Amino acid sequence: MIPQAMPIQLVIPEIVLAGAGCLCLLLGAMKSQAARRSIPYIALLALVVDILLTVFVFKNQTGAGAGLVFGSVTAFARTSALVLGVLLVLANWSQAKPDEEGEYVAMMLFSLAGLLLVAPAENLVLLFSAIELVSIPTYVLVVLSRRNLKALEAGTKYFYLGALSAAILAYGMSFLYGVGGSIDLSTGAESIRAALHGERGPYALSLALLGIGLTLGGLFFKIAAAPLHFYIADVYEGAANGVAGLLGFVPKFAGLLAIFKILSLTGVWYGTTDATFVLIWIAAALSMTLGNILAFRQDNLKRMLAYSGVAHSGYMLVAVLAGPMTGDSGSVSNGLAAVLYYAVIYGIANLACFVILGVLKFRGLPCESLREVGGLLRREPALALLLAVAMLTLMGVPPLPGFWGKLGLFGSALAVAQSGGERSTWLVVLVVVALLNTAIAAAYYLRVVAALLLYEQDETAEADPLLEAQSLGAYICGVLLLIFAVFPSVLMNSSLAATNSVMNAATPQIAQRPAASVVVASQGELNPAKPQLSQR
Amino acid sequence: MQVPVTGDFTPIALLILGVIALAGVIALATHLIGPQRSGDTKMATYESGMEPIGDARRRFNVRFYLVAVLFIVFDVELIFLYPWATVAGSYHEAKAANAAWANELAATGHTPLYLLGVIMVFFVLLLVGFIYEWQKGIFKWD
Repeated sequence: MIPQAMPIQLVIPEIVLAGAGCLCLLLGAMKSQAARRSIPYIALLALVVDILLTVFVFKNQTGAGAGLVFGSVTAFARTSALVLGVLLVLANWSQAKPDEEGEYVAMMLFSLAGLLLVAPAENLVLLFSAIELVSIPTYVLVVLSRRNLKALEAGTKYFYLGALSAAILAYGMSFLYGVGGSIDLSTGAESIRAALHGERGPYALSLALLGIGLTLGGLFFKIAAAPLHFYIADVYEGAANGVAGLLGFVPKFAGLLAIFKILSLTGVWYGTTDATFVLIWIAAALSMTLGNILAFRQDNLKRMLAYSGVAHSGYMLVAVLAGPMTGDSGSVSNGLAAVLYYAVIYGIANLACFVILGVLKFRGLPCESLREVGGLLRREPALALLLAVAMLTLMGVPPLPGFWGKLGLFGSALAVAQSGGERSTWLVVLVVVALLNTAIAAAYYLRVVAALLLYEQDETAEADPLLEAQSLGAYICGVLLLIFAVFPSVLMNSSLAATNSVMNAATPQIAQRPAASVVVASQGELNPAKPQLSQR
Repeated sequence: MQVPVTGDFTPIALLILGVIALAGVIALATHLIGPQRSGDTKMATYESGMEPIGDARRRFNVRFYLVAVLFIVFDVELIFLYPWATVAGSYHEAKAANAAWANELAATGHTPLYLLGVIMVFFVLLLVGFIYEWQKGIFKWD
């Protein structure tokens, strides 16, 4: 069976990004100063062109081929990744060493192109390659971002552990291929689900469990969920602030999209409490609790944000467990829409925190500890307020978008619990754990906000006047957060609309429970694609 | 296309058993019927090679890693090109002879232009890497 050829016209945004990346790489290797100075502008231009293409030309375009399936979720992921991409380029405007600008920007563009390919990837090989295209440039970025031993150490750690997680991921996927009999996710889903329900004997069951467990383990590393979160604080601390902001969005978003794809192979959303359910449940509870406790103990703000990222992965796993086919169309969304929304909001707020910390200098050095930002309101009122808004968004204070995101995440889980079944108790317990954790998290976020706004001290950090682009990026992040605070429905409705097709296609079948024919091909395209498959 | 998990692995089991048996027989035969001579030359690490000097773990020039990277790049290129060339090269003939695989390729949109385009993308990416390396001066050895 030969798959359909790649629909070239559908992947133009990805081609533009990768092409711009190649161009930046070549310009960076040239001797001319002018060529090198144009590199970030080229990256910005490519991203803006891509956003225009996605919003105006590719908005409602669907199609499939060569293992890529484009749908409404793909369009949402594309748009949000590209908009965040503009902010990331601004946040990483200047580099530690001028003759490495080409590599630096190119790696960022390649990583984003990988993220754009994770969303439509519908077979195991493509999914793995796309995830590695996201990850490998980030290892390089961590090393390139700063001129010191800490960055080198962070990059080396990240690279070796990342390579290990890639091996685990590939190993798990090989079992899934063995059990499913196809690298195509929608073709293999039925046999994998049958194997997981024990309908194909203990041998197939153990192989399927091994496959799902290892694959999810590899992806947990990408989103830094416990117990695979151990690298995160050292990597965030060693990397420059712009890169740390990138690590909070690009690999995390890619990993969450991939987790949804892998879970669509299992019956976890159809009301069973099988091993997959237990695995995700434990990872979610552990990530939230460990992340918050560790973040609470940090004095260094970058390490604190890193561990709070672990906690946020845990919150998002709650909605992952709820799945894409529940909830009404009101503010309590389905799990997939909630995760898409929250990942974007978290990405913006996290990036804002890191960029502002990068712009601030204390005695000429980058500002990292809580003490150094104390009393910032008197010195840099705009940046201090922005940082406070970003911290409060991460905390989830009501008018800010973080609150609506958390409402969606936990609401979707409660909506599933309401429909009854053996797992509803466990979901309610998980939401209670999440709410307790939100309260713990408030303690350390408020500590920073209080230091920023209430303290007074003689010597405090100040903004570096040379970092104009970074400041601009921080202000845009702040404006976006305020827009989503005043009009929370803008982004939320688009994430809901994007996932509607997935939800509607799957919901009627929930009542009947896991008739083995219920195949959730992905969040992108549902079973309607199946008749076509048998025709091929 | 479903591949059953419990397939017929008898040939593989036979192969494994055969390999183990053959290895055992060879080891035993060498021990039993091989000539048993000894001497300075016979006891050397490499009987007909160079005399080993010093520790194997010594420093070597870090630039060798670039040679290794380049080697892998062009090695992979060749491995990748070979199956492509086999398919693309016999595509027209096979299609004229109405071979099933060629017809299926054509039906799924793999036109000759598409096949050429795909490999050209690969070449352009490789070329970008090559120009980058060249500009960075890694082909100069001094």
